[in-house]
Amino acid sequence: MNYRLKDILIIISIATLVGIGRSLILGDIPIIKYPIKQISSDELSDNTSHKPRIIKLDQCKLMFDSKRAVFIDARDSISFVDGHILGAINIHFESNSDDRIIEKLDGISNDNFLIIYCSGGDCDLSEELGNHLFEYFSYTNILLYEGGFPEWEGRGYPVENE
Amino acid sequence: MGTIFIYASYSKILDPVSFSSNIHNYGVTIIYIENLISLILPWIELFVGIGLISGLKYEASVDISIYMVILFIFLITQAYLRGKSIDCGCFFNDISPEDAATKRFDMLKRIIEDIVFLILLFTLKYSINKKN
Repeated sequence: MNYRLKDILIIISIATLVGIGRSLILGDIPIIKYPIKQISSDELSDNTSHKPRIIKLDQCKLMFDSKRAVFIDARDSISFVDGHILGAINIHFESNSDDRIIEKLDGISNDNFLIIYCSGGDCDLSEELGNHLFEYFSYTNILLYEGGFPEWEGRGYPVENE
Repeated sequence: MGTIFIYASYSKILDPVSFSSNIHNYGVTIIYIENLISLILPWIELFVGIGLISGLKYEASVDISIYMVILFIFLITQAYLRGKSIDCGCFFNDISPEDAATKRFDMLKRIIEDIVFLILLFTLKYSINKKN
């Protein structure tokens, strides 16, 4: 075999072993990533512990109308002030320390439903915040609303600005 | 060149979770393999960087780095052309024009940077071929 090709394969193999080994030893990231599960409508009243799940617009509206969830806006404060879902709390993950986050979530119990949203599309601010609240603050009923503010506002559902 | 690769690999090795979501932002991979790539790719960068500096497996390192830089150029360019920021995964249309302009400029800068790297790497490869 061509020596250069052999060396290329050796480098890639070692990198693969180290990478996978690291994941197995540290366990900080699973080797295979699975898409996030969607919550079924029956589960909307079941507050046993779950990893963050996806929630759709109609389910979101249901939770909003029955006041069974706290809405969290994961976008930056400028977008939040411009307009957000009525009653939502603003937590932009990167600009808030853990202490600030605890302050903002004061009085919300750990099994409460939290619906986190950002600007829709591929925005992953809500997912990052959701994972953080799940792992470090033990919130066990986190729902990620992927349509985000644009979809909600587009439907003419209640918003406010401040 | 080696230092650049080592420098680039360092933060990705420490934080594969964010790197995995960056990979997701390029919008070309299926979700199942994104973590796997984020675990392996930074180590390849590190070894290649070491190879370029120390001369260990030098020729293979030059080859791999050329493939990687070509891949990066392709990935950033396709995201740029689709109007998608790889920084936040958002589309330029969805964010404020000022933000979009900065992010667009950053991506363009990275594409040009990578093209310069590619030229440098081809110079290295050419000098190897000349020696043989």
